[in-house]
Amino acid sequence: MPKTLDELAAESEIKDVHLRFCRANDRRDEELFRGCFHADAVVEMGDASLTVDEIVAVSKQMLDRYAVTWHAVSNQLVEVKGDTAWAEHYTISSHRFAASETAPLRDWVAHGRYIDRMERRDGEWRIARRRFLVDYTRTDLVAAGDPEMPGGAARDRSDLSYAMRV
Amino acid sequence: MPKTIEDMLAEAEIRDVHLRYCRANDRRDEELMRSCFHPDAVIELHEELDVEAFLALGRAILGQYTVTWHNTGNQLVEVRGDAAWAEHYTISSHRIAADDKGPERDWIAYGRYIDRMERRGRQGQGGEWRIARRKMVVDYTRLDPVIAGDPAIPGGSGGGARDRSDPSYAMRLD
Repeated sequence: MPKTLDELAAESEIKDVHLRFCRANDRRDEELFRGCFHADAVVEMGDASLTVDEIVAVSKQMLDRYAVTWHAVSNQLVEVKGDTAWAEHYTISSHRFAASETAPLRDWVAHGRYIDRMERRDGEWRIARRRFLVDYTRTDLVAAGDPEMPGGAARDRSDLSYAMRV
Repeated sequence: MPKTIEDMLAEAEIRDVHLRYCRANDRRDEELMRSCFHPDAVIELHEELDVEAFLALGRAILGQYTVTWHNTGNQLVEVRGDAAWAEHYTISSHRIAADDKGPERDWIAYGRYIDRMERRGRQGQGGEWRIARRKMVVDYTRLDPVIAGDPAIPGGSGGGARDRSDPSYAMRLD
């Protein structure tokens, strides 16, 4: 079936929800994170089935373990059926661990997929059910050597991207 | 030339075809793979293959890995009526179990898929974009050992599968 313009707009909104989810993780922005989900959404990871409040708490606990996180999205496949949609988002999540007494500076890189049931309620697409799958992971040591970049990033609302919002 | 809405819709459909191709590889879904190609499509890798020969090759190759992951970045599409040119950048990661050639490792290919897409179909039904000719080129590859490191998933299992038992199928709407 050829796509319609309405479907293309819906797909675009749905893709944006996941990009905001990534931003919400990387900037640890709980308000933005909550805005991705319907209030009664369910998030499934492994054997766990979590409410929005629970995934917020789990995420906060996990994110605070890392020095940086970076959720890079590639393939976003969305299929819209009226006010519901299925989506699969390929996402490479990099997590930088600071050096500790037992382990060196390193990146833990998870190659995962987010499978969503999206629902449009009151005109807004949000996640109604999300299943997170991890296909494989790597741990890559961070070698010394290359020059430091200027930086300027922050993992909260002091990040430059907030001040530049319109 | 400014894009038209029609061009944008065609581009979106064409991009989806390649993403379905990636999914078809990673989930080893031959039905989905076949649906990306016109029946008379030609796929050029080392040699020219028809769709059935390509599927057979995929079956043989994908079975060698414990995971594959086709990660698509740049998707440049140029539509000309019912034909289009497309270039898709795709990083394909292939996890190889430890064997007599070495320890567990990821073979990572940085490749581009160059397509001639054609929209064919029933009169008045809008037609369907599929691949008519595909050329796969590999710009560079890496082989990265998998080091013993951090636990795969804190507090849970991966949950995915390389067939239709993958949870993404049960969640589909059709």
